[in-house]
Amino acid sequence: MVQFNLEQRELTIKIVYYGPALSGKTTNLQAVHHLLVPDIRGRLMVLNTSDDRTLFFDLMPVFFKTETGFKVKVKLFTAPGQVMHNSTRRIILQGADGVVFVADSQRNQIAANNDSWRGMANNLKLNGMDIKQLPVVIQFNKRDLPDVRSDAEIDEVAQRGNEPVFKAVAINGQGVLETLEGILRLTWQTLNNNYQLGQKLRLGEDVFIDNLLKKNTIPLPPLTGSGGLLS
Amino acid sequence: MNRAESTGAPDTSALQRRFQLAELLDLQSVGEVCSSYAELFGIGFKVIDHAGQVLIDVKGSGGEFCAYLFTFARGKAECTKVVSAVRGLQVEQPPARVHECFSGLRYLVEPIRHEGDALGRLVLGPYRPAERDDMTLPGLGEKFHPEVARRLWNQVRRVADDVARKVSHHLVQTLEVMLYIGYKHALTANVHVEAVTASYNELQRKNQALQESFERLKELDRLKSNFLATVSHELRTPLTSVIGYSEMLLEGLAGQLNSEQTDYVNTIMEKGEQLLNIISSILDFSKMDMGTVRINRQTCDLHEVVRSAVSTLRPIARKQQVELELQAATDLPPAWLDGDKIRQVLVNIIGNAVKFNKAGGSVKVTVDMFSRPHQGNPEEGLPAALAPLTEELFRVVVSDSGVGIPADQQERIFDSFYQVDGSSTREYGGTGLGLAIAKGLVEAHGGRIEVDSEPNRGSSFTVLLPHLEQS
Repeated sequence: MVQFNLEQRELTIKIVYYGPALSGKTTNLQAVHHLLVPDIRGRLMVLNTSDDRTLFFDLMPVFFKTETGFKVKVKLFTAPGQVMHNSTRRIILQGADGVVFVADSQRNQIAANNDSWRGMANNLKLNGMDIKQLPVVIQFNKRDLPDVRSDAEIDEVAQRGNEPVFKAVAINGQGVLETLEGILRLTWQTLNNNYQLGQKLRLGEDVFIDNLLKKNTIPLPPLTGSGGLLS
Repeated sequence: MNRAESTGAPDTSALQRRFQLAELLDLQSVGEVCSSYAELFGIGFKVIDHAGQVLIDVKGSGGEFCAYLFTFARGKAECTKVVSAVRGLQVEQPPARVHECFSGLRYLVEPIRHEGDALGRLVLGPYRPAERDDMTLPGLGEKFHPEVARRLWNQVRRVADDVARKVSHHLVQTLEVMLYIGYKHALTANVHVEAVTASYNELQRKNQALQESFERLKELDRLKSNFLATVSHELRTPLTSVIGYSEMLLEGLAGQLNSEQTDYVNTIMEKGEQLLNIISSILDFSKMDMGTVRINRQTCDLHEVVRSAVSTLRPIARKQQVELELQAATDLPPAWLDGDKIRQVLVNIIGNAVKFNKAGGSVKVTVDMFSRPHQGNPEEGLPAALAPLTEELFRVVVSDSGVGIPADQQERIFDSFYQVDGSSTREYGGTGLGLAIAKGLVEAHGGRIEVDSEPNRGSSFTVLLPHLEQS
């Protein structure tokens, strides 16, 4: 849940990347880390096991100061994908203001995507949150792999649901910032509707987005993700 | 986080918490790093948290000069003013801010940041600015000697501002890395504890639910046993009358019967007795299930008990053309057990061996003493070291040449109402209670029943009963 402190003039928003194991959540964060200019983001904290799987979570803050001196911070978290870490996933989801659901585009991962979504809905419920009230975008990652659901198929399923859908190849940064922008806009709109943040901070949606997505010009190095796809 | 306006959810997780500088930094290590810098550059360093609390204070080359000024009332007042101004200087963003001392020395104050927030600051100094040749001290009183002060001033490390800024910045970067590592460590440890606690609570809830359903099942089981006992008793009473009146008819108390009538009444009596046996088994079992079966131990001759069971079954064996043989050791000691109950056990087991046999088959019963290394404590609360090395057991083995029992069924045959062939068209009758009762009675004696069987080759049941002295 957004932390809004008028006294200290701070706003902290929490975005969680959720999805099945090895769908590319850590890779998304690694790409965001490389694609944004260093002075608006903190270090990328990756807590991996010895075999490069996410143990607890990954965390990267993105922040800026508004013209009126308000500190705006967005904390990007990834939840661990492996089945056994369910209680950690629930803790990570606590107080989330928006969720990026990173689905694996491969046909053989459809069931894993669905299981993960159901698990997320259940975890949100156990946290006293309602998935229908929470801003969620869906990213179909790994578009570069063979035997993935076709673009037409994804466009069709995107039409059917309420959640904005993005296509990505996180490992080369493709679609990653678009997805982040999607969730940031949706989250801002929801928070603005609920708490009139724009009025309180004297901040518009576009300025909010532009400040958080200042792009780096350095080319993206090869990424490996927590699942070590290239390792 | 002190929230002036909160939007709801409590900060239950460390992930939502804002940490203080002292919580994230290992102050001993920070002290060592600052001391190392102080030694290298001859300048003092202070690490101050956001609230102005000094966490680390490492003196540099300005110590003696400052101490000298501090001995004068005015010097002390001015020093205190400078120190308090430096401590209170809020610097949120780089670059480092300069603060001048009244003596002409200089301080640099640079923020220590984490995730864009200044959690504290580093104070570098005092140092002698490179461009300043002399101190700028006012008169501090009669006893003040400017030449002493100047000598001490000259001992203070002279540094160019750009060098001081570089040193400050490098140390701040080192501290920020240490801060990040501390933050990572704090989050990992806290989230680990939170995850373990959440899993523990979830398991507790599930255990509680299991325990409740176990209690419910136990209660249902008790009701079932109660029901069985009541029903068996209510069935037995009228059945006794059926058998009794049939007997009276056969004895001619109501007049002589012709041969056809005698046959019919004989059948009524035989089936009635069969039914009575089944009901008795159910009653025995429900008593055992409710824990109300009583073992009445008496000194008895086990050979005699076995012989009696064998002779009970001999007519049936003969009828089924099954050879029934008894071999008993001659030197059996007297046994301390409930002879009637053990006889019932053996009738069940030998009865099964005969029943599940074919014409021309055989059943062999042997009785002897058996000794083996002691397994477990003979008595609760007695240390294993005090138990005898071997235990003496009575052993009754019933082996047959019958149909045998498949390996995966051997555990289950002792379950109540279980039959290897559970179909409605099964070849062999019975309630499926015999072995469950036998097991219960043997265990009530502190013994056990073991089975060894191979389908179509036969089965061997071993009853082991502890050889107890009469107590």
